[in-house]
Amino acid sequence: MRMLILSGKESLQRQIGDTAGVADTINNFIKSKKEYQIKFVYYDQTNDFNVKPVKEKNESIRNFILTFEKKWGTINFLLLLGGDRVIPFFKLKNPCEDGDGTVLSDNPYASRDGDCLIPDRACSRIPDNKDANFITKQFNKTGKITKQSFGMTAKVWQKASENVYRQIGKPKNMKVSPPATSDTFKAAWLQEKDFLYFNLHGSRFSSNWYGQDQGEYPVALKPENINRASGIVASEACYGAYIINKSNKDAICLKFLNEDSICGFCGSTTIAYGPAVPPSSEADLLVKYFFEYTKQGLTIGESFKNAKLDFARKALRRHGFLDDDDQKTLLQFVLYGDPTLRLSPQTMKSKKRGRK
Amino acid sequence: MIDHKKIDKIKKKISKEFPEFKGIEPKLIAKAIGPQEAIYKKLSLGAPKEFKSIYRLKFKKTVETVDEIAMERILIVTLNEQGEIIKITQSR
Repeated sequence: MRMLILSGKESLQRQIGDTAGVADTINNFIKSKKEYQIKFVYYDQTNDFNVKPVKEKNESIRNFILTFEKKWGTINFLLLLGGDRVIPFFKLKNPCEDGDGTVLSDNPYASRDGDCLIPDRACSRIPDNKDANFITKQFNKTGKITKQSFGMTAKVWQKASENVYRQIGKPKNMKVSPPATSDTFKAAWLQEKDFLYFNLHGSRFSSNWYGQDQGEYPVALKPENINRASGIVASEACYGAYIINKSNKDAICLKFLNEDSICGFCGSTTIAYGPAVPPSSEADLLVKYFFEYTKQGLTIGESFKNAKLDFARKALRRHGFLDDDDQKTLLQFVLYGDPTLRLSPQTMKSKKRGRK
Repeated sequence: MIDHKKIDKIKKKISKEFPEFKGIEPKLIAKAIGPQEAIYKKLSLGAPKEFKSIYRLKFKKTVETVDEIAMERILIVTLNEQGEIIKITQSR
């Protein structure tokens, strides 16, 4: 299995300063991952395959990846290292008529052809958070199995959320907001878990996620609630994975990733959609499939890719087409973290063997 | 086809099941969806050749959270050519 770790040297330096520590960490990571062929490449520097360096433009970077792949061979895993100022998100036409001018997406990086709805390779991103330590931390994580999960849902979507949470835990154990709010939230709820699931409201103008009961929208979770959290996170909140001009202080996704035991974060960059009641569709369905695959022991990168494929197949079988909401769901969901992480004894053994 | 009578019936249903959208006038959008052959091909599925028509009734309002953040709320009712509800989705 080939994995390409891609970044831009100049742009990454502008975000985190000296990149030497990050490069050292990645070289150790490469040595420890004996089951993968991994290359760490800066798109703006010369490289082993003489692929011409490019500037920090999404289309140019995508072409760089495609050319690199032609010379090296099939890239199964792609890890984008850096935030929007290092490897820009694609700003795609929004299929839905809503408040989003464009959809921030990594899908074109995951796709080999002109149709970027369906990914061809596992693709994730490690945002820079303007902090070298934040990046290096992501390469030193392990998936410790606890067989425990946590879920939190807005009251109005309780039934729909139960249908998703059933993959990873007992629906009756989910926290419902309201009555649960950030004031009554206990950090211990997020500790020693395999999976963390959130079906809450989000806004790009707020650092919090919200519950709902009729016209009441209480704060359900804020960054300060997260302390020593663990596991794989999936959130359906609108803008749950929105990171532009944000940090771990005001973006829950970055706060989660800054935790030592959080393996990855799956969420939406823009306004997301889902049903009020089962059957699962849109964000609910994608997250449900993502949990199914990660629970089976697949890497989070493969799980995320497979979830998108299954999501598209299911929508086509149901209605014969992907409608606007389905298309937006496929584009807007991104994965943050090391795509090769998985919850399984196999990974834990390899980490013990290879990591320093 | 979808007529005013059908829209009124849906508005009543939405008011009852989703009271926060009561009184909101929906925007009707008619959409023709092509065969999406490229997607079917990429997923190794046999592609249907026909075009399909759907209707979307979009209910939109702005709400305020307890910490005074304005948030756009959207509810979409998707209907098939016969005017039957295929699904109801909400913004997260």
